[in-house]
Amino acid sequence: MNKKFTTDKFECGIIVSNKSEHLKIQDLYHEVVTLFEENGVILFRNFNIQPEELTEITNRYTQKYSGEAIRRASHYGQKVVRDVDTSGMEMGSGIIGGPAVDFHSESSFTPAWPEIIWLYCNMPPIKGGKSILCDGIKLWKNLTTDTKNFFLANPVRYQLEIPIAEGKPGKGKKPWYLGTIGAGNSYIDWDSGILHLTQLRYAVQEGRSSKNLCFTNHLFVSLESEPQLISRTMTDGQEIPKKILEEIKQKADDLTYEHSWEKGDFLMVDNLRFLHGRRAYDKDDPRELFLIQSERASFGYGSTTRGSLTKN
Amino acid sequence: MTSIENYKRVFADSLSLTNSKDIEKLEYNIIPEWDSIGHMSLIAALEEEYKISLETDDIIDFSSFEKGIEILRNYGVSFSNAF
Repeated sequence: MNKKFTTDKFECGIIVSNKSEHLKIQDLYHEVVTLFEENGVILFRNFNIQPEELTEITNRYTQKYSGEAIRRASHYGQKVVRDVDTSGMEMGSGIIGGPAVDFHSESSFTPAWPEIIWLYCNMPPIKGGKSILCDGIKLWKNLTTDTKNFFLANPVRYQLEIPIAEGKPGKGKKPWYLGTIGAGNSYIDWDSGILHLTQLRYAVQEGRSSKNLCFTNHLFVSLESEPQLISRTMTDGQEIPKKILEEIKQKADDLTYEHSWEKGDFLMVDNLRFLHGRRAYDKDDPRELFLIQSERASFGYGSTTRGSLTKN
Repeated sequence: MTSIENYKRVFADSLSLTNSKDIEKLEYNIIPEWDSIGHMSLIAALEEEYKISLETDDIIDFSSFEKGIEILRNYGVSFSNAF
């Protein structure tokens, strides 16, 4: 292992701490990819990262960014660097308070579901506003066999209305093609600037370590708190059984890790493995976090975790 | 007859490009601005500019600046100074 940095396990992943003045995260490609695939969360500390250079780092690990809708503002001349929190922003003074957000995998109900999310702390909250994380591998293992069988056999149907344009560059309704498995019935209503679609997606998927399944989805958040999400049912239109929802929420709560932010913290999260959310924070306790969404990583799925049946 | 400069302007405006250098070499998903959302705005802007309605197959095929010229020609758009 490179001695210019140290690694320390923490409850939810691994901390990579810089010990060299000139070390850059983008120069640790193979080490970072290996640690990421194994742990699912990397917390980078002491790298003296400036917000203006975030995409210099993330570009190295990204083949394609998620096409984010218009609800989040961009920053520092980097289109893909966006607010984590979606309202009440005042540059330099942080987001001025917000309610708790339940567990979710970022944009897991959309065609642009990112493989990696990056969170950068420009201004930490003092009291509240902690981020919460839950390992979807551990959560899946803790679910009852009946619940596992239910989600293995049944995809979830998300009905979406995604704002895509403020200036209404077109007119009328136009059928659209999204090229994503499970996406259908899609059209753009240019009079309202809304993309309408249905996205079918399983609540569980294979992890980067192929022996594990990860329970990551958008089943925990209320529809009221996610305006793009119009309905969420099983494919036959039936509601997800209440008993199952209660079980997954209870077991996710039991596996919750709370992250207290420090200025300059940079978190790389396997969004297909980990659920995240946040605790509430008050108006007098602002925070400023930035989010970058890598829809497709620059390295293969399981590129460092899969072995061979034979040895050299 | 339309000019290639006009076509470039539609690209730059609809994708909110701050630097229109090398715009002729642009390909879908190579720059953050021309992502899936940007593609929607680009197609809408081109349809509005040239008073046409692109078929779904052509929207999918519209994968580069240069390919766009070829597709638009099929809709009767002719360029005065294209390559």
